[in-house]
Amino acid sequence: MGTNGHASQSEWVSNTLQRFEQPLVRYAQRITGDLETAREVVQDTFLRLCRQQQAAIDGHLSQWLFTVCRNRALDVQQKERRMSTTLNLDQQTGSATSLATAAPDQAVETRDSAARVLEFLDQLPTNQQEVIRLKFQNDLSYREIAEVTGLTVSNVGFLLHVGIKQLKKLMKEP
Amino acid sequence: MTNPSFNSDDPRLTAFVLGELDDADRAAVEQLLESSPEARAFVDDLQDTIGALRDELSAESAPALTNDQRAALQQAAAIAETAAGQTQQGSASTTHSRRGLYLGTTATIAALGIVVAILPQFAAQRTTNSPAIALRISDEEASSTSAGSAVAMSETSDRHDATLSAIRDIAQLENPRESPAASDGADPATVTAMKRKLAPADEAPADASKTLLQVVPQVAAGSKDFRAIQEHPFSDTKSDRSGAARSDAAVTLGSSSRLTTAPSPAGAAGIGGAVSREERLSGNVAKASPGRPAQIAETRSNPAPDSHPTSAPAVSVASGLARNPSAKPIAEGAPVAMPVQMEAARGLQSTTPQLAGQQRGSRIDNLAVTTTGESLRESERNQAIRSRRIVPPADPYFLEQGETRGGFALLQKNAGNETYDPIVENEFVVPDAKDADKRLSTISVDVDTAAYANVRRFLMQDRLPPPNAVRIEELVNYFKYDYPQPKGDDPFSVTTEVMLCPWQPGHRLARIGLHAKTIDKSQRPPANLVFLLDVSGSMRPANKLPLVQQAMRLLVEEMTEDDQIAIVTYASNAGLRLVSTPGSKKPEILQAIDSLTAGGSTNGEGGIKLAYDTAIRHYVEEGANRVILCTDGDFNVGISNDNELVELIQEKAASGVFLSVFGFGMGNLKDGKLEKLADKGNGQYGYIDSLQEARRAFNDDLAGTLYTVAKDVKLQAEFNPATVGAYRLIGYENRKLAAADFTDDTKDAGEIGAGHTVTALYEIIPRQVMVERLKSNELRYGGTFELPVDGPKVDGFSDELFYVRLRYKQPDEETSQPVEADYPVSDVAITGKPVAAPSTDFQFAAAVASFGMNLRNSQYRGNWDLRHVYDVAVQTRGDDPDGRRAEFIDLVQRTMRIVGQQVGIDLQKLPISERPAELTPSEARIKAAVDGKYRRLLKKIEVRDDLQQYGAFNDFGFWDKSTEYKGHSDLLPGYWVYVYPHWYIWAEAVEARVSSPETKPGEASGTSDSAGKPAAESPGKQ
Repeated sequence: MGTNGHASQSEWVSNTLQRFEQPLVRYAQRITGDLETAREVVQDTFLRLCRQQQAAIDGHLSQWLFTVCRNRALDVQQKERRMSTTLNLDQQTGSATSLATAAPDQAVETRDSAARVLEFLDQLPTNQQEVIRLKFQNDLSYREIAEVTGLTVSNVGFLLHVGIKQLKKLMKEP
Repeated sequence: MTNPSFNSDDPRLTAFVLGELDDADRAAVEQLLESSPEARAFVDDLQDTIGALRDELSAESAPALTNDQRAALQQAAAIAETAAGQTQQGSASTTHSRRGLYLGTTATIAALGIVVAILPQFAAQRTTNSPAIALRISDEEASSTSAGSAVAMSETSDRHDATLSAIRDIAQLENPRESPAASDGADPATVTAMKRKLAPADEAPADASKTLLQVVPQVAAGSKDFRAIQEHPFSDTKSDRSGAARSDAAVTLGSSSRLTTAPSPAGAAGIGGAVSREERLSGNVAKASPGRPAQIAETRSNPAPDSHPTSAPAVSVASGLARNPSAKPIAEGAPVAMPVQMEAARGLQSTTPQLAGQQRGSRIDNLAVTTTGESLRESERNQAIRSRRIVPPADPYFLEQGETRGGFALLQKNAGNETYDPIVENEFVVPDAKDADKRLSTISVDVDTAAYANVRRFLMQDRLPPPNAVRIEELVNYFKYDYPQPKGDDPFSVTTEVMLCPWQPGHRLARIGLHAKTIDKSQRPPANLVFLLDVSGSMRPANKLPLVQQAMRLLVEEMTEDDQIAIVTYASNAGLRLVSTPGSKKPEILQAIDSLTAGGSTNGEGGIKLAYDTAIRHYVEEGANRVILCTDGDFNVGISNDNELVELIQEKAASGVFLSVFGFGMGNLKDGKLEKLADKGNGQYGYIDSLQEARRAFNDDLAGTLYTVAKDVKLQAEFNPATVGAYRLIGYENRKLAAADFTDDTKDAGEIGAGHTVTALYEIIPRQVMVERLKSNELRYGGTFELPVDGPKVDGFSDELFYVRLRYKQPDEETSQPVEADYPVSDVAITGKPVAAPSTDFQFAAAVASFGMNLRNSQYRGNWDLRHVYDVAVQTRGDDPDGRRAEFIDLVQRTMRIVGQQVGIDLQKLPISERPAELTPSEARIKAAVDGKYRRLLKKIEVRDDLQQYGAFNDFGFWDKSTEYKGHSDLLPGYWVYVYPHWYIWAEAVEARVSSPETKPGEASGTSDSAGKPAAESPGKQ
């Protein structure tokens, strides 16, 4: 079953791993706010991939991976107390600085650096941030983003536009 | 084609840059770019922004998996590959599973997923042998074969959690096609129980026990593995269990309906079903004191006709029962909803320091324990008994305030050191033609939204908010609704809408929406701001002062040279940190902000005086003069008396300086006090829990916050007695005014800033419906309503439901002007017009209100629970530009999860059942007599809520434990039968057919074993 003209299951998994491992960890980390948890989420995602038939996923592999990864991350996030989206600053973990919400001090330091656009990005509503990341960091299409997030395609387009427009405005401000 | 005009809000512009348009749209945009230089410039900018985004985002660090994880995955892939060719081979499966189990801890996780998923037979076999899915982690394996330790865990950790989730998902959800047997074999309840057991990963030991004690109503009846656990009586194991910390899970069984599990990583407590609920109720589970465990066993079955853990109501209280003396007494809530558990609860009352001093492992007779408890907690016990009410058993839902209802009542934990002013919900009022006060509902219009952010904070911590923290109008007003802009010089537009009440058949829901005129940020008047910052020691945590600083930096960026800002801090001494500085000197302002540190105790009074003085000194005519107080509300030096503080604020407000109050942080929040301050200081109160929220409050709403378009805004609705049977204002409990206050200009009311929207909701019982109910004798509380069938005639207004009036003052005036606008509202249904589809905004607002009522356990929440809220919110989310509605939907989901974990049911998977049709009174009575089993009806009481718990029909059996039940009193002992929506209490039962629950607890447990359906074993059932 693993070899109907495809690579063997393990080759397939390892190729996929090669390509998506880091983007998925980065994505999951945005949601969970914690690297270790993100890694486990991604590992879990790939475990599920192992059980999938290649043929069933071919053509929408990235969409499948991001969807499973997202669902797992949201699931785990319920149990974790570290939440990047809500900025639970009470829980300052070692990795907190890598979150959407940099610690106050760092926010000042990075003010003038090239990373300003990311700083502004962090100020957008979470749903806008997410579609922007899926689009520009992971290169998913509108339709794929819609599938991953459960939004409609037109809502994805709307959120992207509103978000980018706002970023544009923020970057233009002195 | 006409020349398309450029609209920067058109999402196609971005889609164009990203190549996401179809041919037609692309052509349209190209044409636009051709014709509009403005559009070209805009799209160029978009491209730049997108380029920067791509660059920065792709450069962002992307960590990889660990080598171990990667290796484990390779292994798993290999196993999957092999296994794929060998499915249906039990022995082969076992081999693989073994292989999986030896991969070491990390790899084990990987392997476990595979094992359960692809080797269903094995999984099923394991679950039969040892009750739950045998989940083993490395060294636990050898010792985990006995039933009692089916789930063996020496620690809880993220990893276990992940493993377990994987298993659960595999077993339950993911690939039913690939693993049918696994999903069959793994009882969801069992898996859930396991999951829960593993869940409290990062709880501190003292907290751990909170989540350890769980009640799991049996979701899937008749699961073998579930029974297997039950057949393992707790008493077999408790004797050798001294309560010391053990790694295996204590599996306690009540009756067939309930499983209590108590892993004891820190010597936690394992307590029988109801008791564990007490624990969660009080939120104060045993402060763990591992050194001194005690064990209490209650061995006697409670002779009650119920399904409680009668077969083994053992109460095992392990270590740490020394209760914080200030802790809420657990018994307080206990007997209220669960009289059957009085004994157990009393036993638990003894969990006082004295008792904790008992020898570890000692058993204490229930009675003795009770005595001890009495001496120590006399008053609380009395209170408990006073509020004790009859509640049929197996109620997994528990309420804090002594209220019980069916459905997914929510339980709130202690709010710690936070205080909330009590909210007594508005009741239905019958409008009276002769009594204007009863026809008029007057409120102070307010745009506070703090309660929403505060509720969100609780939920994000996986806690339910205390009911008094839930101010429904603030929840509803947190969201933007699409009301029209006011016309001309009007400061507001008023929108009214009526729909069928979604949660109460027959009722109507009305909304009144105000929208204040919007002003552009560029047109806003100059601001004279004085930040009054609490820098006392309690403000030190990152979500307090540092967040304040961050929020202020955002605000400073918005300032212009016409604006001024000053900073006053207060701790032990109040001080002026930044003299009033124009917005052009941003570096100085930012530096002052950065230099703030927290320390010392709080002298709010001195600070408030200094801040107002500063604001008055720099007063800007025609400008926004405002003190912005940022605090956690812990005033503990100077005036700490709320009233004096309020008076001080009121006095200062006369100067024309407005006050905004922002609450920060948690644990120390004095919510009611802050709200009061803002109200008296002519201002708003907001709660800020994140940078995003700070941005919303300080920036997005800046123009509105700073520019008040009207003050002392009062709204009055007059209800038409000819059409309205009764009405109820939803929320606004502490913003109600007397009817006479409407025209009284000395009475303070709310302020509305530019662009603000305010929504008020009324639930209305149409008069016709009331009359019908009277006729059919369906009034809830037995005839206290007197409604003449011949209603009052109000000539000319027979269509109108109510009429809205408004009054407000201009920001700089002291006399109010009435708005003589026409806002009569007629009831679509009653006037025979077709029911127009309510707007999505209205439906969403209704969902938010219902969410609030559910969180408050409101008696008015009708037949909606969180699932309805969720469904409607999802359907009516709309474009949601600011993401607030999506966030709300997430919150509802989260709440369902929290509640689901408390009751052991996955609410999201539970289908919404429609209410059954009600039988005619005579039919119902025949059915309630259960084929002649019962005779002589003593009483019939209406309890609609019990539908969810008991189903449409339940032959409950004999009950004599109380004379009160859910608001009904003077009840006599008798046989209770539920035929929706009434309980029938019968005096006699025909001998041969009665089962005595006192002697057959096992049988009795069948009569109501799980929520929502009558038991299959119930004698005489249909």
